[in-house]
Amino acid sequence: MESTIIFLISILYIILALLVFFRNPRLRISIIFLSFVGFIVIWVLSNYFESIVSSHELAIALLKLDFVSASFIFYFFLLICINFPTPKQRLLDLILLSFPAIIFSISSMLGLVVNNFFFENGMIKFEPVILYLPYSIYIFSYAVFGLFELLRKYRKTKGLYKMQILYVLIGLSISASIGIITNLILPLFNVPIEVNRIGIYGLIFFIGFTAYAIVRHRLMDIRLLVVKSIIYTLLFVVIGIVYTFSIFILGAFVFKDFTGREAYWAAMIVALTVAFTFQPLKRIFTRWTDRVFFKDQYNFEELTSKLNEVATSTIILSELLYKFLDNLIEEMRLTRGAFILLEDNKKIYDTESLGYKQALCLEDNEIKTLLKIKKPLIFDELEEGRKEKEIMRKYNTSIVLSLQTEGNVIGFLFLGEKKSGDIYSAKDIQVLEIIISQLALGVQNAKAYEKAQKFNLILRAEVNRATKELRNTNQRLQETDKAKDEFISMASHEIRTPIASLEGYLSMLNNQKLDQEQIEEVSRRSYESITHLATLVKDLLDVSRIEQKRMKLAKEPTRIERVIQHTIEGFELQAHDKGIYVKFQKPDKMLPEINIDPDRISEVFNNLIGNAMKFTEKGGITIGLKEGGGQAVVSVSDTGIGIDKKSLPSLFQKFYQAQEASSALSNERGGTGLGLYITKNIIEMHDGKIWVESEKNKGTTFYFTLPISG
Amino acid sequence: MPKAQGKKRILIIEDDIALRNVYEMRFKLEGYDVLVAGDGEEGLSTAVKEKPNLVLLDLMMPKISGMDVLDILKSTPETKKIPVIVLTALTQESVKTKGYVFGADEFMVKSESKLEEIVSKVKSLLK
Repeated sequence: MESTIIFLISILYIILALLVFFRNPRLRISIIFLSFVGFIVIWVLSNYFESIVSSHELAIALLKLDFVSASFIFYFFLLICINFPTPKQRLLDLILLSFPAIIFSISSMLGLVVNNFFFENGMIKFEPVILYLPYSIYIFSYAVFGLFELLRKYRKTKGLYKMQILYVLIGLSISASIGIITNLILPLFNVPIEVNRIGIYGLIFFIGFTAYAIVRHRLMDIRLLVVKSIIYTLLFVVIGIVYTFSIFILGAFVFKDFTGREAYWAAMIVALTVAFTFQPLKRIFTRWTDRVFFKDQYNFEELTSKLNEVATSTIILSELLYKFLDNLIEEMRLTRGAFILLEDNKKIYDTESLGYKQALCLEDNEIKTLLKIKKPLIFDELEEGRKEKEIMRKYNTSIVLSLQTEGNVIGFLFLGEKKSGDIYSAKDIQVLEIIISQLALGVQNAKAYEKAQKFNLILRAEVNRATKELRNTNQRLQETDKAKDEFISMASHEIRTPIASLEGYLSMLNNQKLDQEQIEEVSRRSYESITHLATLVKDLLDVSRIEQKRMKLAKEPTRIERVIQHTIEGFELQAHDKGIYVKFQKPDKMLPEINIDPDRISEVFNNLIGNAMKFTEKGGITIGLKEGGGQAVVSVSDTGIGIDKKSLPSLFQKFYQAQEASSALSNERGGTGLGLYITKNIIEMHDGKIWVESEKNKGTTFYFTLPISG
Repeated sequence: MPKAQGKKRILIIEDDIALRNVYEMRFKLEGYDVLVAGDGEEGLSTAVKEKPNLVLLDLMMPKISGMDVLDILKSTPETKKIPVIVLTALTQESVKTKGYVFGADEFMVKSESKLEEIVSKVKSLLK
C-alpha cells in the first residue's frame, strides 16, 4: 500500500512538472520547476527504498543520495521563489547560488554530513558528523530566504499573481516545514527513522496547492472536468445497471432458453434502448450536475437577451455603458469591468468603469498596442513579455475584448477576474464575444445620437451667440444714433446763437434809421458773428470727423520749428495791438524732422496760442520746444489769468468753457468750446499726449508731446 | 425816439455774450437805458440796486439759473412788480408752466422769436 502511494506521488509530480514544462518549455520557471520536481522524486524514492532494500551497501548509497537530492531541492526551491511568477534573476546568480548545493552533495557522498551507519531491526540508522550542522544551516537558510522572497513578492503583487503566490507559498511552506522537522530535527532526538516517511506525505500539500495555482493559470477548468467526469460516470453506471438488469430480466423471464437467436434479439433491444436513452439521460444528468455545481452560474441566454435589450433600447451613451457594465458584472459575478471608447481610432472618447479604484485611462501607446487585437485577450493565456500582458497586468485585468463595427475598433471592454476566483470558461468567452458585438452596434447608435445632440447644442449656442451679437450691434447702433442726435442738437444749438445775433444785426440795418457810426458798428459786429459762425462750423465738422473716426492725417516729415515760426507770425499783429509778446524759445540743437500732419499741428498751435492770447492782458506768450525720451516736447505758456483747478479736468471736453473764459471774455468774442477737444484729438492721433498746468492769475502752460520716430 | 430823461431801463440777464451784445445794441437803438448782466447772481444784484422797468431773463445760465432768479425777483417786495420776459432755448411745456407760476409776464423761445418780436413785446409791456 505504501509503495503504491509513493509511486502515485512520484508519478503525479512528474506529470505536473511535465505539464508545466510543455506548456512553455522555453520559460526559465518551467525548467526550474521540472528540475525541482525531479530532485523531489529522487528524494522520495531514495527515502523509501533505503528502508526496504536488503543490501546494506545499497541502503547507505540511497541514504547519501537522499541527502544529495535534498541539498538540490532547496537550491531549486530558492530559484522558484525568486523567479515565480516572473523571472528576475541573472544566469550568473543561478550558478553562484548552486555552489553550496554542489559542495554539500559532494560532502554527503564523502560521508562528511552523516556517517557511522548501522542497522537496527533492518532499518538504516546514522549519526550526524562534522558537516551536519552547516548542511542544516544551508538547508534552513535557503528555505527561509526562499520563503522570505515569496512573502515579499506576495506583499508587492496584486490580483491573480498574489493568489498564485499565496497558494505556492502555503503549499511550499507546509511541505517544507514537515520535511525539515521530520528529516533534520527529529533525527537529532533519536526519533525512529520511520517518522521520515511523514515528510514524503507532507509533500501532498505541495502537490495540491501548486496544482491549484497552476489550474488557476487556465491550464484547465477543473470544475468543468469534475462535472464532465461525474456525468459520464453516472451515465456509464446507469446504462451498465440498465443493461445488466435488462439482460437479467430478459434471460430470466422472457427468453427461457437464453442462447443463440434469443440472446441476439435481447442484445439488440437493449442496445436500442441504450441508444435512445443516452441523450435524454445525459441531459438529465447535466441539468442535475449544473444545479449542484453551477448554482451561482448565470443563465447565458437570459444574460444575452438582457444585454441585447440594453444595447438596443438605451440611446444615451453613458447610460448604455453603465447599464451594460452593471448587468454584465452582476450576472457574471465579476470583480470589475471598464469600457474605453475611442474616437478616430486613437483618442479616448469616453470611459466607464465599475469596481476599479480609479477610472481607466489608457495611454496612447497602449491603445496602439490593443488596436491590433482581433480575438479576446485572456491574461492567463498570453505569453510573458508581451506588451498586451503588461497592459493587462497594469490595469489588473483578466480579459480584454475589442468593440468593433465594420472592422473598426471603436473601444475596449476590460474585465477583472471573477468574484469566485474561477477562470473564464470557453463558454464565458463565447458569450462575451456575442454580447460585445451587440454592444458595439448599440454604442455606434448612441455615439451618433450623442453627436447629433452635441451638434444641436452647438447650433443652439451659435444661434444664441449670433442673436446676442445682433442685439449688441443694434444697441451700439442705437447708442451711436443717440450720440449723433445729441451732437446734432448740441451743434444746432451752438449754431443758433451766432445766427440769431447775425439776424438781429441785419434786422437793425433794415429797420432802423442808423447814423454812420452805428452802421459801422453793426456791420463790424455782423462780421464778427459770421466769423464766429464760420469757425464754429469748421470746428463742428472736425468734431464730427473725429467722432466718426474719419479724420485723416496727411503726415509728412516736417521741421516742427518751421510750423511754430509760421504760426507765431500770424499772431504778431494781434500781439502788438494788445501790447503783449509772443516768442519762440528755440532748442539748442535742431530737432530732427518728425512725421506729422503740418496743417493739423499748425491748427493745434493756432488753438493754443489763440486761447493764450485771449486770456493774457500783460506779459506774453512763450512757446518752448525740446527733445526728450524720443519725443518732441512742446509747451505753450502765457502770463494770463490762469485756470481754476476745478475746471482743469473738464478742459478738454466738448463744448466746455471754463468759468473764467466766459467772464473774462465779456467784451470779446467767445470761443466755440471745441478748440481744446479737437487739439487733444489731433495730438492723440499723432500718438502724443497733452496736458495742462495752471496757476490762477499767474498763467497757464499747455504741454504736448509728439513722437520723433514714427 | 424817447427823450433821455424819461428813458426806461431794461436789464438783460443773458450769459451768451453774442446775444447779449445784440440785445443791448438793439434796445439802445430803441432808446432804452440798457443794463446787462452775464449771470444770475450779477443780474439779481443789478435788479435790486437799479430797479429796472423790465427784465429780459435767460433761463439757462451758470451759477444761479434763470428760474431761481425769477423766483427771487417775484418774491422780493422791491422787485416783484418789475415785468419779466423769460427768454429760453428750452421749449418744454413744463418750463413754460413753471415760469408762469412764478410770475413771468412773458415767455419767449429764442429760436422761435425774432428779435423784432421781442422788441415789440418789450414795448407793449412798458406802455
